[in-house]
Amino acid sequence: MIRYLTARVASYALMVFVATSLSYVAAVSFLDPRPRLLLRTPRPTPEAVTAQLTANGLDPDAGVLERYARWLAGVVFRFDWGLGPDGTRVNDEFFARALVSGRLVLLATLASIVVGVALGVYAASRQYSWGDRVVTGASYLVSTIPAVVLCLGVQLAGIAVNERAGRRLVHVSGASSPTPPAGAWGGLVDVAQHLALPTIALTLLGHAGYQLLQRSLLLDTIGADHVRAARARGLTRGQAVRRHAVRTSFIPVAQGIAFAIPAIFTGTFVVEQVFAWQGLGVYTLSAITATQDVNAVVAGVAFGGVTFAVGAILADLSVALVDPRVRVH
Amino acid sequence: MQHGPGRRHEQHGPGERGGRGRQGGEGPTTGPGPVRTPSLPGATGGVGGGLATPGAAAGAGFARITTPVRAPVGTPRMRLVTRRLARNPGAVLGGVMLAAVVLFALAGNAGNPYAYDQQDLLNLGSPPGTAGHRLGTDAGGFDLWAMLVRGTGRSLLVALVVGLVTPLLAAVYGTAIAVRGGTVERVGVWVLDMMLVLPSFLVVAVLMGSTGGGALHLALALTAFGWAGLARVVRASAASLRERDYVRAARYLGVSDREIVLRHIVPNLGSYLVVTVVLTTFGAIVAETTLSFLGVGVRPPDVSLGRLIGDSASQLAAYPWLFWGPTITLQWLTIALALVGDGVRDTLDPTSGSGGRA
Repeated sequence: MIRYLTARVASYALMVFVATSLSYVAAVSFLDPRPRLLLRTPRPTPEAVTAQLTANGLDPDAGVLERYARWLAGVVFRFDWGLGPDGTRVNDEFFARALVSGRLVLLATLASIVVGVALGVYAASRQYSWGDRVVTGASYLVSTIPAVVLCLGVQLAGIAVNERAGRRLVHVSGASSPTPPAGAWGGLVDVAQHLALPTIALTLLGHAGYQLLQRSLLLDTIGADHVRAARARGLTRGQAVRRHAVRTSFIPVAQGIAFAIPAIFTGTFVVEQVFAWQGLGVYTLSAITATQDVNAVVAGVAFGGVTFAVGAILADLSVALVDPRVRVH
Repeated sequence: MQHGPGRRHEQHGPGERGGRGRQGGEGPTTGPGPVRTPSLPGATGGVGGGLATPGAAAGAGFARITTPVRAPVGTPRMRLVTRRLARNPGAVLGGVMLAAVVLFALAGNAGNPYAYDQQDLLNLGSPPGTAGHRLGTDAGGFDLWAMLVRGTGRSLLVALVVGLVTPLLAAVYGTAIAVRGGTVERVGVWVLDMMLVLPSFLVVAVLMGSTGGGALHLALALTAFGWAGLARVVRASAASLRERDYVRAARYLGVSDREIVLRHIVPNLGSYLVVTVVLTTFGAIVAETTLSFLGVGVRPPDVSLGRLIGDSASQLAAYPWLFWGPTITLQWLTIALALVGDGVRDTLDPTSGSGGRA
């Protein structure tokens, strides 16, 4: 088991390393922060811009391999992911943004799993009732709605709610007010008001997949012999389903959850853009579209790769631990 | 967006879950699930019209399906598929919706006095119906109807290229490394895993920055970084097919690798790949929307549905029609594709009850 796990981790570490290196080379070749810096007022000379970039370790005249070697040494020996064109440390920025995104993503992921699995169990244990049709139909509908449309729709609904109430019940943009209300309680309410809409949007998006998966898996096990045997032993239908069917059917769902981890990372891009949260997604995106910040982009790629690897290993592990049929060499 | 499709444990080869497949459980966004044994009742050399016999789904069916593909005795495969599709009301509705949207993209601007790249400086941001603008104009005076027609066309182009090329690429690569086996296969799978670790979303965004932001560029970038997951699934199923007795027999008879792939492996993956074309097309529409919305996909002067939605997002209150126009078109398109996808999957799934008497 330990040997298998070590081999998996080593293999994924190598993959993340190669993928990050490739993307570093690509980013250095395709991104150029100079044009944007040249447009500042007062207008700097091209030499001044080059000097500024060189001072930040982004020397545009240096060769790709030379820059790569210097960057790699920094990452490996000091865990220093470099500086942005304006001299800010990528490490600090990334960490600060991760806290903002994490707050949003953690809550929404938990809510998606709980809501999705609960609705899936509900729908499966009442197959073809109107409740099942409504819940499952809604999941199918949601899975055809692109994230962009859904987020904008939730935002519009939030605006409508505020108008109907005549005051600002929920905030439609930002992670917190510029000047949060005084007191611990006021601050908490303020955070909740900002969190509400993006969390609802992400939960709506995320729950549909779990609901459909849990429903179909539970339908497969609900008629299985061991569940009938449990009924025959005198358990009520609810007890038999809860204790014997839901447990077995949850194994693949758990695996699905692990694989959804990288999708969460991607999902934040749209939600943060729509609701104007200054999180990881917006940071990485503006590093590509606006600041042309090579180091930030590569840090984003590495982060995405690591989340994927963690998800994949967790998924393998969960199956290997729970399912004795899977032989782990 | 992309989950790692098909990254389930390989121990679950196709056909291992005998009986019923997952009841269409995975939404179109979750990507391909476990490959179902893609055999059609009519193609099993079945005499007498071939009733859909759910039991013949896995295992045993295989040996017989791939005896050299000759004209089956019963109903021809194509007619069988179309007949089954025609009986599925969802698929028919989806097909009609899809045809309507394609027609709209091709000929929707007929009779409209304005072109998508033509500014009407007298009507900036006018609501629908002003001065012959059917759906109004945006803040720059561009006609929304004309932009919708153009944008739908570009989004469809992206979807079509990605939807057709991705499965092709994945099928060729996946079967090739599976048949070769050994070191080639191990290295090939490692490369695929490495590509899956790379957040394709960011890489496409970086690449698109150096292009003009045209729709075709986006299609190529999405294809180049979107085929790895599918290739992995194809590889896993092809590897399990490779171990079947009839493939081994063919090999001992001296049949070449190429012939084995074309005659014995691809026909068995055929229906799965057809389903994948629809799912990938759906995924490409969503990916185009997301990337263009974020400003890293299709950019001006080119128009796409995602770009139109992205442009409207900052002015929802002032110009609501700019949001609802492209949104309704996009939703129409995704629902149509989802319906068709579900129908096709049902039709080609030998374990589903849709066989009826056809």
